[in-house]
Amino acid sequence: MPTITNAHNDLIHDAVLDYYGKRLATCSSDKTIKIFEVEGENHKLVETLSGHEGPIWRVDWAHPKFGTILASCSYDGKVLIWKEENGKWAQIAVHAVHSASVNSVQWAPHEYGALILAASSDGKVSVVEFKDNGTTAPVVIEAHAIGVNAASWAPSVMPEGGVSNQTRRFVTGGADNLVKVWKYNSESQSVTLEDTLEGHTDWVRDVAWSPSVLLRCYIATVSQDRTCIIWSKEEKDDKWTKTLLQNEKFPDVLWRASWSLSGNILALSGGDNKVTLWKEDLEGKWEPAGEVQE
Amino acid sequence: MTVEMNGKNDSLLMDVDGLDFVDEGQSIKDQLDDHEDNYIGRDSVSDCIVVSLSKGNEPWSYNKGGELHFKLSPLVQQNIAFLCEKDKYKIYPVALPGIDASEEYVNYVTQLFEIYSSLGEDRVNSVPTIGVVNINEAREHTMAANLAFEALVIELESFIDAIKNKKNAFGRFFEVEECLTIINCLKTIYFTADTPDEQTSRNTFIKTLLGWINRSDGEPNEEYIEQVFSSSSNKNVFETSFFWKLINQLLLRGLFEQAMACIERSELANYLSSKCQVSSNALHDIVALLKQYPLDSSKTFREWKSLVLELSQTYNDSETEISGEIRDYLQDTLLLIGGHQDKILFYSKTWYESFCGLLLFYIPSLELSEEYLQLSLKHNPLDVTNNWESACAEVIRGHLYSILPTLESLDSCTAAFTAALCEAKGLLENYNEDEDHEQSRIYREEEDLFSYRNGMAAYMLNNFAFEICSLGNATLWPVAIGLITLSPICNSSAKKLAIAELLPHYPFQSTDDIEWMLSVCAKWRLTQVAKSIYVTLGNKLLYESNTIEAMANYSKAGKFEWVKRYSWMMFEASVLQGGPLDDIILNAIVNNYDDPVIPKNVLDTLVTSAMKQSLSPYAVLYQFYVAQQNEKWSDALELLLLLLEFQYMPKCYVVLLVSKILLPIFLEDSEKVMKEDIILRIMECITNKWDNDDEKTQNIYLSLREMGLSVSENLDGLHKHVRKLLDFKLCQEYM
Repeated sequence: MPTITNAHNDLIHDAVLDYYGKRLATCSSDKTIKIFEVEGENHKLVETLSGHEGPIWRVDWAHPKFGTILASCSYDGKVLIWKEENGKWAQIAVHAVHSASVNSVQWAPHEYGALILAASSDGKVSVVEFKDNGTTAPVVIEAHAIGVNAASWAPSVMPEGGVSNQTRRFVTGGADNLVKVWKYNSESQSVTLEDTLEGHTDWVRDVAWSPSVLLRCYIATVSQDRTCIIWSKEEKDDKWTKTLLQNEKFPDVLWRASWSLSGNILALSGGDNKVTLWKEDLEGKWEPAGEVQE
Repeated sequence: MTVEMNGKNDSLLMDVDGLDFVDEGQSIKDQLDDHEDNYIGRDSVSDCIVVSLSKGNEPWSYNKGGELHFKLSPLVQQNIAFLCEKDKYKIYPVALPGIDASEEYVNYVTQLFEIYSSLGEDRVNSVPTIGVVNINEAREHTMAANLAFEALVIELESFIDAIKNKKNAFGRFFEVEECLTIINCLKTIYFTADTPDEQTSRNTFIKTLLGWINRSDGEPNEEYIEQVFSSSSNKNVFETSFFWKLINQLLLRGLFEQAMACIERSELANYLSSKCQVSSNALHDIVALLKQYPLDSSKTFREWKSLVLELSQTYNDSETEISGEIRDYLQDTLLLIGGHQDKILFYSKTWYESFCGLLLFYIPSLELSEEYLQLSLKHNPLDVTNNWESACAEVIRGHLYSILPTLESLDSCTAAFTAALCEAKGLLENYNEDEDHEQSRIYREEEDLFSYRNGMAAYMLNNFAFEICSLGNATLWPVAIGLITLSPICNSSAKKLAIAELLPHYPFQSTDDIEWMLSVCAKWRLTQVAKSIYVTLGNKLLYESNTIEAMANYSKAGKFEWVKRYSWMMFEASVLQGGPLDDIILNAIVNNYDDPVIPKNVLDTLVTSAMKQSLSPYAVLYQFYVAQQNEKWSDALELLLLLLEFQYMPKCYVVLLVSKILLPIFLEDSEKVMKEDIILRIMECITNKWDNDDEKTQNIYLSLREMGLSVSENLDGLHKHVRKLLDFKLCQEYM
């Protein structure tokens, strides 16, 4: 796919490919979301979605089993859900429980159902389930003083056959420099704090829970303090172990952390406009695995 | 890319593109204003104006304080990066470095998997070493592992051949070539000498050794040989030290034919025969011995070596008529092929040349390989800038674990299969072998897929399986699933979990792809995954407007509510358009499978019992349209009544059927006669099901009005109107 020029008229804040890499959603300060269809080397703008009243920070595709569904979050404090049916896009739901900018939105692993996690500058995190017959009451919790910058679901560990009351966890990173691990109980519609992880000395900018259940449990957190911490856990009852990805500080603020499909590659991007890739070596140490070039 | 323009010497500037001087009436500033967008500023040192020739098309700027955002996608070839900065509104698709998704690589991976897969039970080194040891079994296992490794090397060579002339594959070519050198060394030391047949064994060993050494650096190259032959302008080439160093280097590398060709080209034989018969005979004997270098057994080698030593001694004791220098060179060569350690070390340019020389001419035993390595390294240290040199030295030392990261950094496929074959041969000691046996057995059964206790080979194979799944190439998926399945770990639930996690990502295209996915689900009893696949497939088909096939998949996924929903949606669409839907499959289903185009067995496999049930209202509606077309009004009315009386008919559709069909076709047409019992049944139905307050009914009614249907202003009005017309029909019947 060649470079997409002038996708938006203002700052771009997120660009996400769907499950099969066939559609690209981008969002911007111009208050729009653009949907591109990607076919090999080509891309085609198919839709521009308007509905937010402020800059749109992030977008996230739902698992294809729910249909072609996209969630977006914005400075206007709302999470909007968009759906495409018969080639037409429509806004199908609004989630407006936050009193300030919603900074991050993420669909849960598909095994949990159509469940969304939103993190806001009002210091709260909300979990809302979208059922076929409408929206259930969202669960809203106080998560970080000053504001929550990012939130990420833990992968599903549902055994084959399906157990509905399995433990569902997510992690949040906040402007209080903390990382918190939460447990969500869908039956009692409650969220409880499991762990508070201290390690960063400035705002936590992004958190990413490794998507694979096959490796150890990893959370990558990046911060304004120019560090990336890998939090890991061997067994269920273990405490979280903190490992600095590299001992020396990165040259600039780290903005984003993301894992590969299998959770064996971690990508970081930051203020020096570089993307560095990291891989756990055969001895369990984190090694640079190259830089991404244009 | 920028161009500098000197602002102080306006009159000297030339318009290069127009081949003319810049218009004097127009200042540089004016001209720059024409390209205002491209103006960057002035250079701080020279004060030159700096203009961008590539504005709007720059790569990422590597500045401090930037805001580059990047997210890894499920496919490694398609990732997205963008700058969250003012005036930077571009989206950059990026591929991860070091990822090979070429057709040649896919073929290579597939071939290696075939090799590993066909190893069968020999994938595990389970031959007992204590108790009753079956010698044949051990020999067969060794043979199988060696053959598999040989096949791996052949495939790697083929892969290299396939890419060596490819554009933009230069870096990749060097990586895999380096891999091959390490693999060749590994093969030499661990996968040839123990081949059960001794005759084949020595032959293979020597050939592999020479293949490894000579392919590693391609020395001595042709250019160097030519230099040697052209360097002596005023004396014979064989009188120079360069010539003899070359000959001895060729001999150390086992390149006997090349060495003999050089001797012949130098015309040394002619010179010696005219000058010194003893030396001439010695040279003839050397050539004859080289031609007979024994490859069959250690015994013949010992005999050959004793002949060399005898010749060396005889020559040493003989009087010669040639200069001391040439005699010394000849003597050195004789000593070298006689296995003289000092001479071997002296004439070696690298550690691996002397290592090869010692194995060729001293004592050809791998038991001494570590000693040879020490000796060689003492004389010529490792070139640490070469990945392969350090790795090969580690191989000779027996540290196989330490070469795996090097191999992995060069090519993860080769690394994974190499580790697997090493483990199959028992060359990788298990991490947990010092643990209590019983304890370790329990651990192994409970271990997850990536646990270090499973061993390095399992870790690397599984890792590689995950890696190829993210290449987005459907051909590699069976390999990935196969690797996880064959992975040498005991925990099948971990394998099942891994396959369950991966499989929904399979980039299916054809029916065959889907059948393969479902067969994997069936094999591993992944019912939830299969359901998830059916739903995804249903959504895809729905997106392509194949509603019936989508419903069939929803039905298989157990999404009966969705099947019902789409059945009613089709029913609604049909009533609204006043005729059957333009869907051949749907109409063939409801037309009792009586379709000339779609065979019955195809429909049988497509239509599930849930679909049959949920599509029955549409089937009745379809029959109504047929009756209507044939003007069988009494049949049509009976079918309409069947629909109205259907106990699961949603309230909103009662209004729809009445407004779109009953009213215009039967009630408002005075010529259509309705029997009393029919009218009474309709009245009863309306009494029971008509609901003015139902939201869905109101929405349907609103759409009907928007479509221009001339009905009353509101539902209540319509209700009254219908009742009035029914009363009228009743009166008509009495009269």
